[in-house]
Amino acid sequence: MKQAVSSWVARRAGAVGNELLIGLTLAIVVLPQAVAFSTTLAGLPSYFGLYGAIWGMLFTALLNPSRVFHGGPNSTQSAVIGVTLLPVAPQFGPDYIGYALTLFLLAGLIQLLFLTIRPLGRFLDFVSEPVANGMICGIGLYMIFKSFPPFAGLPVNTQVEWRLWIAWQSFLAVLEIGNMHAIHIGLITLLVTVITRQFDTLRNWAILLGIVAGTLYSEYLNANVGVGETLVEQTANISPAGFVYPSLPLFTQEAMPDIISIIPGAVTLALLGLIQTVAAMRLMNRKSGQFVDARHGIFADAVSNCVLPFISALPTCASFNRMSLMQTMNTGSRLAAISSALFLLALVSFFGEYIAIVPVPAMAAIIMVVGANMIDWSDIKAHFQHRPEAIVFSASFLSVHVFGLFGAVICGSLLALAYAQWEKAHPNITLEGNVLRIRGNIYYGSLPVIESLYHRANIDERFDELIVDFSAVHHIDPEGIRWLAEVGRNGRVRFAERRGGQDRRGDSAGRSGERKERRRRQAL
Amino acid sequence: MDSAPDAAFAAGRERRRVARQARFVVVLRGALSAAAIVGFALWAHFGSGRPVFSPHSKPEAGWEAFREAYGVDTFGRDGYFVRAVQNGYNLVHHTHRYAWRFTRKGALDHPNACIDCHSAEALAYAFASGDRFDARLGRRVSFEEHVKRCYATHLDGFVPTIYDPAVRDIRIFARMVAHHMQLGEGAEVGTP
Amino acid sequence: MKPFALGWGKAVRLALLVGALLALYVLAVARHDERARIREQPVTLTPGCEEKLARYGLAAGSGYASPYTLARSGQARVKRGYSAEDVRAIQRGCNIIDDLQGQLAADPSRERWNSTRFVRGTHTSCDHCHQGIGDKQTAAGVAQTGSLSLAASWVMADMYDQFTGILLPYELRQMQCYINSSNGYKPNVADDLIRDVTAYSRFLAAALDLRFGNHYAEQGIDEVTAASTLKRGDDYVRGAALYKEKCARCHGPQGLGTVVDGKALYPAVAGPNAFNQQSRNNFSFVSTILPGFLCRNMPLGEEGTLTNQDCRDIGFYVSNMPRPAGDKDGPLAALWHQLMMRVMPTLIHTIETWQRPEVTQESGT
Repeated sequence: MKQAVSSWVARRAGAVGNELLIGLTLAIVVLPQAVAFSTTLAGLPSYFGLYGAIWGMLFTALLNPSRVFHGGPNSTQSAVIGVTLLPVAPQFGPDYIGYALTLFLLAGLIQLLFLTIRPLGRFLDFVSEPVANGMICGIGLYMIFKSFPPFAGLPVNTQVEWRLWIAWQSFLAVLEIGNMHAIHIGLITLLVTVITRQFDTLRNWAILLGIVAGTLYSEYLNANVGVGETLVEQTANISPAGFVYPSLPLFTQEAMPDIISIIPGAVTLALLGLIQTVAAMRLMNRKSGQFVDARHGIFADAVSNCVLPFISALPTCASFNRMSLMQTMNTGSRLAAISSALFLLALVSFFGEYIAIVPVPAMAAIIMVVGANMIDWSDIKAHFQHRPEAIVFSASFLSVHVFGLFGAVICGSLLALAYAQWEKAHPNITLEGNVLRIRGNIYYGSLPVIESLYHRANIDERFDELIVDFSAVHHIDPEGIRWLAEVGRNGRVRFAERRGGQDRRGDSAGRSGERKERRRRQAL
Repeated sequence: MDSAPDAAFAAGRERRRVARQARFVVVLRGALSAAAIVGFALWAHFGSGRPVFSPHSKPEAGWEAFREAYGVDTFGRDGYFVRAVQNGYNLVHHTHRYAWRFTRKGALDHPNACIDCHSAEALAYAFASGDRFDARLGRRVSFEEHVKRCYATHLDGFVPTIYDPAVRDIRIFARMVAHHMQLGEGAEVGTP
Repeated sequence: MKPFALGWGKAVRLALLVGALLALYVLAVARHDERARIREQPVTLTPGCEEKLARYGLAAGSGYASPYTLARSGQARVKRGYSAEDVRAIQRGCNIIDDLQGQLAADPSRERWNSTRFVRGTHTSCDHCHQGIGDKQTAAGVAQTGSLSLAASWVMADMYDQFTGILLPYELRQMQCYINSSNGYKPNVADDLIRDVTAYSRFLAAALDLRFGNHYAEQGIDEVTAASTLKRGDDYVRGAALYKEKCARCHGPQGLGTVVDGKALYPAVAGPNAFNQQSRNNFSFVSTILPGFLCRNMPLGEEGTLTNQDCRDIGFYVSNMPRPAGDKDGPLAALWHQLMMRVMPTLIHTIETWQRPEVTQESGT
């Protein structure tokens, strides 16, 4: 008995130990990402990313029963925040932070709307992979472009302009007027990260190693040349903020025009977050074998994002790379996610001093790596095997750069719906000899295609009989019934419907006819 | 044969009851977790005693006096520019509180604010002669760069970005003082 | 599989990537050195700048006393001196304002910091609007009211700007020009192009002894509002007639400017080389600025001959000519404007002159 208990305890302890190890790994992986996303992409002080990683992860772990779910700051969302708020106020300032908190709250409320109105939630399932991947690849490329100025210690261009042209000008600016010390730091970080990523054992630690290398080099520069001479921007102090920093979003009368102008950004933020969460949960349901309804994910995101603005944290959504990490390390329960949040809290409390000296060019290099990583070539190749998917993917990708992130989300949603409708409106119709076989839906959308083929078959002189086989049709709407009735009146046409086990004909034939029919059916 | 439908109905009712209970448990769990999270946020605001972040500048002691003395009201009683001047005033006089991100100095350190070393007038003269060649560095250096350097070295801190309000508002403060003193571009110390 | 092994394919790709990064780094170092060399080189001034800077006595030294202030007030205010580097920056800034396109420069991209990269078309130059190289003076030697003086703009920088909704430091004000008036793209705020113009503007402020935060009449434009007219409506057709009579001889019947030997003698006011939809010169956007500019500065050589109503009419007419879309208008609007700009002038010219050779002079570019 004692042995049974002790073995049970040992097994549990082993499992708990494994969970804690996974938690520690996740905390170390998410720390540089959180800081980089909030400083370089979102233009917010680093504690936003860290609180998003600590409290955001904790909240979603509490609300979402999936054991492989890992929330926290997300690169796409941070990019949207930066783009939305750049024209509104100078970055890092108190105004900017106020507007950011309002943006997060609006996004959270929109996500609540998606939770309460079920069809909206279902709509998210329609965002197919090519659409989501197109947007994510587009945003990945955008992130690479956006990190050019901070890579070279240059100020960010603050006014809205066509992104691709800004990207080219920023690149030229980096080459010509960048701060060489910043470029050195950025290059070292980039090279260390890229090289260590190639080795499987070091893959998870690559980003951290890159940042450590960059920080060490910047400290060496500060010691030799002097921080007053290099003037390379740093992440800056976070310790006075403590473990939680309560905050109030900005909602004053005078801020109203700006708040209204950031509503499209809030919609984009909400939609991108939910799309990623739902897609990640769908993927993990398949991989992990634990089925969790996507509505739990939406609930977790919505409630968290309504509360996080009040504690100075970035909004949360699913992170594909961290969730795959948890899956690979065989996590057994939510303890991994919860412990990762607590480990991160401990790390930030003890190593806050070292986080503060991380140089911004190193962060920019990390963003470049993360952005490049979002462009998954194997996925893209898979989409290009199939023409509609290729078109949808390319359109989604280009719309990020041409129409901006909000336009891209709208475009992507429309493409998703159109894609779904296109599939439905093009049933698989074949004409073999005198058999017109329809597989799919007969409804007003697909009838034009069906009818044109039907008429072509009908006027074919070679056969005196046309067989319309709709055994594999699973939906016929009233318009379809009206068409079938018309077709039935045509003496030449015979319907075949194998499910019923018999031919449906206008006149009934005799037994011999039935046998003949059976043979003919088999021929079909 | 009579009892079969009853048994079937009873079994159906039982299944529905179990499903309802399961749903209720799920909803209850969700609601309790959400309540816990909201409770945590409420505690952080009201129970923890920590200062709440607000985007609006707090009027510090001495601001009204400065406003009177330097005639800030010529630019309006309130406004974007006036708020920036006020923020600049707060930064210059209470640096360790308003620019806590860029300095390690605390309330007990001395010096822990710009005003401990530079008077407002000195800042104005520095602004008026910004963007000049610095022989030691071998290039032209702007006023903002000097401010960044101060944060990093003399205030034992970190380097902010050049467009951070912690840098910009000090320039705007200096501009205000320069206007009050009617300084011209390139004014030497002691002359307008 | 050994944990630290790399497949050949991966190793080659990695080597290529690292090689590309290092090549870019080498390129960056080369470009940086080139910029440093350009900053060290003596500056060839345009004739206008030579005269102006000599008049204001720009020279390196331990102090600077403006001859202009001396002449006007009898007192020499000695200000902080400029080093040789500062002097070169000011000279380059003056050159940029006077000759943005680099038409008077031996090597335009080097001497004007690649300014043409940021300006669409070959017509625009800063001093088309900021006349007198940013310091237009009347015959009496006093700064002209509403002449877009760069010095006055510098001393009043950091003010709130309603169009961008933020406080605009001087560098960002220059950026507005690149986005709107010169219909261009944006240099980075830290670019030498911007810094040198700031240096020149600050020098002008020192030379003219302007004081911080003071409003001077020469700042900005002397706007012409509807209230300053007899309110007989800003008549488009009247504007067209006035334009044909007074403006077309220099700016072309369709506003496309006059280009001689590849140099824009008189800039375009419509079409791809002109200010865009979003510019404050656009009457539909801000109706007081373009008329204000016209009344003070146009026609060249006949300033002050237009009435306020005339200016508003011409401004309205000019702003309705096809021009590029602004940056915030989005790609579809941009495409539409490009199409209209390229197609409409030729179409109208063809139709108007169809078998009517006598009107050839009045229509067309």
